[in-house]
Amino acid sequence: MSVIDCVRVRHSYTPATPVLHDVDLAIGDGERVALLGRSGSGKSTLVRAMLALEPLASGAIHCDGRVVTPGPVRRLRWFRRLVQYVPQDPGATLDPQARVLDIVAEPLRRLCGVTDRARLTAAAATVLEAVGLPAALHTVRARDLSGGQAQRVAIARALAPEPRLLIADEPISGLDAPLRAHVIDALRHASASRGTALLLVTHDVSAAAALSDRIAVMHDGRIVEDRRTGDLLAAPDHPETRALLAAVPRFPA
Amino acid sequence: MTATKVKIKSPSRYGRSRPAALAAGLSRAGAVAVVVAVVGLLPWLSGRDPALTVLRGRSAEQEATPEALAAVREQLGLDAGPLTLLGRWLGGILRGDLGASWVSGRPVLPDLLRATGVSLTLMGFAALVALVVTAALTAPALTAAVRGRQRRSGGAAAAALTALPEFLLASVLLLAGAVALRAFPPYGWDSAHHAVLPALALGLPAGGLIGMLLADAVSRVAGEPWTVTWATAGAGRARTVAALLRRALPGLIPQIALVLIGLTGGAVAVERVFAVPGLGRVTLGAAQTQDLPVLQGGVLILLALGVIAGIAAELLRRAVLGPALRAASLPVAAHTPAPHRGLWITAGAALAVLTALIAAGLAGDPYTADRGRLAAPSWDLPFGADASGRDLLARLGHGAALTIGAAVLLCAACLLLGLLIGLLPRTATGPLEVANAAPPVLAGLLVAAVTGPAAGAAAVAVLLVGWAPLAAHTVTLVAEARARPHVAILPVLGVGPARALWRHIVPTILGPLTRHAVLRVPGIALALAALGFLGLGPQPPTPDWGLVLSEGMPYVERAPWTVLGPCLSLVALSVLAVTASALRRAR
Repeated sequence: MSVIDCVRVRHSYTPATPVLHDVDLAIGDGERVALLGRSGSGKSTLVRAMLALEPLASGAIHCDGRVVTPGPVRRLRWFRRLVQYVPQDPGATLDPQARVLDIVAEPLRRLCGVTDRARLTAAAATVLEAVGLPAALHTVRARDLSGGQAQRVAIARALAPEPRLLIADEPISGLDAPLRAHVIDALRHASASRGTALLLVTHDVSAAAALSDRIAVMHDGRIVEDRRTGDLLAAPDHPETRALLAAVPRFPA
Repeated sequence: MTATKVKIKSPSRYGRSRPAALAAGLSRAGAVAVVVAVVGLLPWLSGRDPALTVLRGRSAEQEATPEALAAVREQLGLDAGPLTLLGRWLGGILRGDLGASWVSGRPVLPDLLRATGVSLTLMGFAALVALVVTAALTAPALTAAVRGRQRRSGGAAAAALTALPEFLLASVLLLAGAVALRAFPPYGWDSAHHAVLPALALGLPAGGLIGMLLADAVSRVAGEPWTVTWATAGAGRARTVAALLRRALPGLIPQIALVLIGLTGGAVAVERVFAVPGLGRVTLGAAQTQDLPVLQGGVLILLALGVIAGIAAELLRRAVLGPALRAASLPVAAHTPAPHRGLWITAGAALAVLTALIAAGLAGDPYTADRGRLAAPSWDLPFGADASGRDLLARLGHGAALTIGAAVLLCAACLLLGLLIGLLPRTATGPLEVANAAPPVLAGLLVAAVTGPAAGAAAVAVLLVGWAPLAAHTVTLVAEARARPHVAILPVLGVGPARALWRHIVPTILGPLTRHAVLRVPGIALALAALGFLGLGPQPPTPDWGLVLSEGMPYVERAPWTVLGPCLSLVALSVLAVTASALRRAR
């Protein structure tokens, strides 16, 4: 059964220029999907729509058998618990003054209704360990974290409510190589150990290859190809896919 | 200026939606209606017989016989009752007719417009002085920032400048510049020469406050990541300075507008000391003679000036901040600068002075006139005696409990009120703009006209307008906080608007807001003192600092200690408050 199912999703910021044309995309439990496309292809708009941050012109987004539409925070809590989000440069979305444990506990408190302080702390600590953040850093303020540590905390925050799907929007663009490794590592670990489904939005073919079972290629607001990662990389069908693959710089493995 | 993009907000929230604009408009209209109604009903609210005022104003000898009063009433149409009077007054305003003075019988509007021109000219000169002072105070912070360092402002000189009450500064300048040096004319308004001393008296405190706030903001901005990028990219000194100012100014523009509006209040005292025929002097005079048509007109024009300045400032702020405010991409300072060690010493010294003053003064008797009249300071009488032969040190010590205590309490009340009102920016728009446009002296005139002069009236007047700057600051701080990535992501984490406000936004703005409030304690103490000085606050023999000061003013040449004591006390209080606020870390 799919966690999220986009059916003929259409969107436009201004009536004259549609951004999404009847997009269909479903992600199953535990599945790791990469949404690949160049800048301006409509990836980010699709993500915003899938996160119920953007109203649709037509079509629908279903999650767990329910229709999802933008609305007040209170009405969407059930959905936020099932689908969490890792933004671009996630470390920058931490409150510099807040302590790591409190940051991770916040979605647990708001989405899962955990109020007991001891339970909150224990649950937050578990998630933080899962992303590889040493216990000594759990009580530190976010401003005192290094770049890699901050990225891990942000991912832990998204994982804390134990979502069934994690949507990561260009989580590694703008980061240097070691930081990318940190983030990819944490995401891969999360999906492997918890069976969390993953939607990785990226323009980076190597990241898509490293982290996905399936790749959906987006071009001009349409999904032009959607196949198993190995097949797609081995024999790309669509010219856009070929163009994206051709643009990848090759390094010795 | 690069910053992380977090696209969380929906486009519909980028601009102001129609209901929001409507709420702001309604709030403005409501606030203006209430104020205009209060001003229009002043004759009725004050509970005094307007006819008596008119009769007294026209002829001191004429007895207030019932026949004479009835004649005046009939002549002015005062028999009609309050609501009819209000309606008639409002109708007059729409026709550009503010009525005729009860005292002189002349039409109010032409005289007031002439006085407004004079006041605006004086304020223009004062703004020039303020600009120079601000530049001088901000220069060190900018120099440090250009060299890649952060610097706390908080010089004792700046603190002392903000603490100088306009009425005292005006008197000192009058004595020094006009009487002693004979460099400038003491009275009148005939040439640019006449404007120098009043402009200095008005501009120095304003420049001190703006300069200190701006230096603080520049230091904070200098810690934001983009400054490093600019420095390593080899941005020129001038460009970096311009960028720092552009980034630091938007948050301060409402406060700067406020300070400039405050000039109208300061102008009341300054115009009186230098006999400048401006709006403030005319309005105060009208309040003293109970010439209500002139008072009503003067208050309306002062308020209108303030509202216009407030709207202009908001438009300017939006223009300067531009898309950054809407696109959730304001940079966050990596660290706030650590306080300067010298500040601790300054704060400690000021605290010691005040404590010693209070401790020594409380032991004495502030009411008994058992000393020599205007006795000079001596070992036994450190601050000398006043014109009635009362111990000035004792009066100041007891007055400290009154003035400082009242100021601290009022400041806390203003902080709470300002925070709560500032969190409702849409409904608060109108009251905020009106309160911002009213200097405490103006509120004092209104309250005193209704209740009669009293300590409580002064406190109410200060509270009526004192919350506004803090509310305005809250509005800008909240807007900036909402534009930050870590706040923008909160809805996705299931954090609703109420919790986002109370747990994530309010804690981050409390620091700067409290610093601002502490910074205002001397200002509030001075506002109370100014109201006391103008006779709108506590009445004799209360040892209120403003009263003590005003009682000493006539003797400033013969016995300077009569003003020196209260003056030094207020300066010490201000230095303490300002250094204390600089010592508070951002959070």
